[in-house]
Amino acid sequence: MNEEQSASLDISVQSESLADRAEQAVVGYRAGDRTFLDKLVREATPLLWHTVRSQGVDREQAEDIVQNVWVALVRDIHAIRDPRATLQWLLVTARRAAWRAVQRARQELVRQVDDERAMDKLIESPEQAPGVELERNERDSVLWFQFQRLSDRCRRLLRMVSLVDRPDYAAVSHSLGMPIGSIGPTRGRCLAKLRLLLSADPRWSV
Amino acid sequence: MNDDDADVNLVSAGELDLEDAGILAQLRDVFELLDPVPDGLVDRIQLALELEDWDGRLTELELVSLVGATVRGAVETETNAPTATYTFASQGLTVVLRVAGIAGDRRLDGWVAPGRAYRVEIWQGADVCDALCDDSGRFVAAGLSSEATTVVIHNEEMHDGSFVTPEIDL
Repeated sequence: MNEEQSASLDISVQSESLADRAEQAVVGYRAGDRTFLDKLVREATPLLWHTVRSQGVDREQAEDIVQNVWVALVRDIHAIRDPRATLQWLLVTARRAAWRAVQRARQELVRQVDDERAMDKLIESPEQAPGVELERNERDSVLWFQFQRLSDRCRRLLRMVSLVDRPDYAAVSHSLGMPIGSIGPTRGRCLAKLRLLLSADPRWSV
Repeated sequence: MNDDDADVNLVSAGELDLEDAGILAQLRDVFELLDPVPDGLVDRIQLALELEDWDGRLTELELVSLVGATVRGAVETETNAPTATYTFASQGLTVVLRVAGIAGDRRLDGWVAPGRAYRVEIWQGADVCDALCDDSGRFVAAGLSSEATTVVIHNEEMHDGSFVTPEIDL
């Protein structure tokens, strides 16, 4: 028996990827054991939170959406055909719900506000809670400054990827509709761009 | 292809290294600082899942009327603490909840009909406060905080089991 096989037989060992732990949560829950799901909620809620927020949903509504994603998982848990796809399902469900919420909010604003510039002001920044500022940490400020020069797609990808470990990079990029290889064994274009921007910034290299 | 594109292509084909890991870790810290997951969100989700788990045994009460609503996110001060009366009903059970008191010390007066000594749980995030109805179906809970609250009424005599209100704002 090789190492991989022996590890997969011993479920008391912490699974190596979040995707594996999500699968374990669903399988366990179906068998009447909620502990793995409780752990998963604790671990994956930040990931869902940032998925929803990076689509431009305001904080209050993002809370509802994240909660509803979990409730939907439990409600349909016996109907999930492939528990190995649980993490993917959570991320895609969150992203779609967020997208719909943003569309609805925009339509609502269009009805209420004619002036497009006024509309822009009303849409909260998806990357920052109101009133929160970075402290005067030079490296954080430089990173944040250069990060914001990236495209929306790259900002979403890197925000999500920063929250998981390497085995889950593929699941995260896939859930964003970005091809496998966006980040993974290689750096991918988004991270490459950020590195080049940072290395060209004299405040970073000091 | 200009030089910038060539650079990006070259760098993007490189394998992930320690510096990449450092940048990603720092990015995560920055996001945790700028856009933190709200306090208590995980607890509220755990509660929602628990309620979902009970689904078979739990009857949802429906809002029949609301007088003097409090609005989520409304500005509250000690002198401007909102008062509201909710009426819920389902399957022959009626529950009236009167919310009053100052911020940080909200009070819930409940009346359940038909009157019986029901066991009551008041859920606020992960905190559960127990109360017991008197024989006429009345209960009181005080010292509650101003936040989203769910009330569960256990009817141990009836096979119907338990009833849960929708989330209300204290």
